[in-house]
Amino acid sequence: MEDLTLDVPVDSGHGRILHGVDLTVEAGSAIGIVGESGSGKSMTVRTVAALLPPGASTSGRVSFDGDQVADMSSDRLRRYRSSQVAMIFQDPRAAINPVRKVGNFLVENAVTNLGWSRARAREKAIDVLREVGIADPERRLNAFPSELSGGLLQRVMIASTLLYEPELLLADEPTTALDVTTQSAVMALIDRLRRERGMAMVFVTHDLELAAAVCDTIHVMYAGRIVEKIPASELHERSRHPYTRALLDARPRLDGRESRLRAIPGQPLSGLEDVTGCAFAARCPFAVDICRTDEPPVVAVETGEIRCHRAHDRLWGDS
Amino acid sequence: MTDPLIVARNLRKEYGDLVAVDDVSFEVAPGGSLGIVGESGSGKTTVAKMLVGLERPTAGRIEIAGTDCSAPAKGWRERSRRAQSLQIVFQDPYSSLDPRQSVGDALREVLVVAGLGRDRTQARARELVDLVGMPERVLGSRPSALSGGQRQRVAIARALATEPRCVILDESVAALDVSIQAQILNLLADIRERTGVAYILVSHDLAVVRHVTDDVIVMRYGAIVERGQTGTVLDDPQHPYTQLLRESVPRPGWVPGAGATT
Repeated sequence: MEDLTLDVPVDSGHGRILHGVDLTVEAGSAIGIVGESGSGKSMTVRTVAALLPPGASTSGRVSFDGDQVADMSSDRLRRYRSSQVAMIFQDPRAAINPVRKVGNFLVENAVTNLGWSRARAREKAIDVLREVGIADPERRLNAFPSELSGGLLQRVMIASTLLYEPELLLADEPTTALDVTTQSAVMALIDRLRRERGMAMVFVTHDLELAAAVCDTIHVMYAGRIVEKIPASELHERSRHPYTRALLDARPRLDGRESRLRAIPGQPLSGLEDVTGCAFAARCPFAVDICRTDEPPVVAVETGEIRCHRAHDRLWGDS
Repeated sequence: MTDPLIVARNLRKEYGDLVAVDDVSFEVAPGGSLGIVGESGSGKTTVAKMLVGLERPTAGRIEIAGTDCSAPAKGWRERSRRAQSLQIVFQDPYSSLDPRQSVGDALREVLVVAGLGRDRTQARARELVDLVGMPERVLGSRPSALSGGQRQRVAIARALATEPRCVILDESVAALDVSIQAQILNLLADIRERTGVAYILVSHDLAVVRHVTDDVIVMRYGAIVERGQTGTVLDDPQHPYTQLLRESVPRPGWVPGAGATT
């Protein structure tokens, strides 16, 4: 993804929600996109899958293995969305037809999209259900979505992506609606399948710690812009963007208790809002005059990239 | 020793064959804080609903400020008296406010029900929005004009309107962005310092529970599996389920899936 902008229809015409997003996913790698509401993290992955709201328009380039996604015919796009990229969402119940049984969902999709015979599709469906840890898969094929827990249903969604052996998994908050113990199990499953199959992943979440645990690189988004790219292993010790640091510091600790948290003042900004200068400046403790007047450039630093006027200042004693 | 503010004894709630809450007992001291930790189906929200009288316990006893509150309140007089002891703030600020009602009307309504004269409600509504860190002009706003964090501030202001001695926070910060969640948690700490209110925090988020509460009960399938001081329970959990919960929290060096099953 190079210099991507995304405009969507709003009451007053068009509003820009992504402002020049660059994203590179190497085959087999996992990148995390982290941010708060309105940061544009979900729209970024939807753009990769060419799943945009009606009336949306983009500039910049999205290419997959050399092919421009924008130039794909509808046939080519269907093939792209099944055998090359697959997407799983936060709410599996919204992504599955509630009156179709699990088996019907898995088998019909494979028959339609892959041209398999019904018998072969059924056999493969049983295989992938078993692979995602669902006991008694033959029986589960006859279940309606409402008969399965959120965790089991998300496993079914993951199984459905495995039918196609995609090269890239787009996961948009896939565990946010699940209990913590279920989240842990489902994340372990995604992580294992991804590694075994050499599948790349773009993982969208609001949870920095979760992203850092399962991704190679972290991209922090704010107001429709990527503000920091950093290897996950460096996130805690060496992140440098004031927003990344503020996010890490704002969470309460599991291993101790402070009387007050280091909250970030103000509201998260969405990409739609008009800003002069840096979008984070109004909430940033380090903002100086230029931050309020000029859009910050992307600056290469030892750990990756940050979008900050003060990239080379020692804002923290340790970095 | 001061008398406990809230006493729950052997609470039980059945829905047909399902036992949602099974023999749950705890106490909350005036100005104290109790965390109720659990996942979906643990019964934690059912306990909260029984405390505020939205569900009737199948068995067991609830005492609030020395009064038996085991059954839902009969009549507005008793309801308003109970409302002065205990209030609740739910997870979703979008659905807990009436979209047609301005913030000021929502607050004044509670104040009138609580028996405050109409001449004094306006001043008290102003005090309340100030207490939750919002400008006076939001009194004229409808919920749709507010962000999620602002709506949750309004819900907290409304819960505090009657100066309750205890507020139940039922996943009240779970749906908020990290930066807003920290603001609301700090607000809750400020309010506790200024008013001496007690909190019962119902949550699945162990870090939030650690931050807010002194004592904790851990629930699973309707029953308490572990209880104690929050710091002790989270640093050195004894029950395998508490250990699993602790292990499931992403943190530096964490590997997903340790000991977990769906």
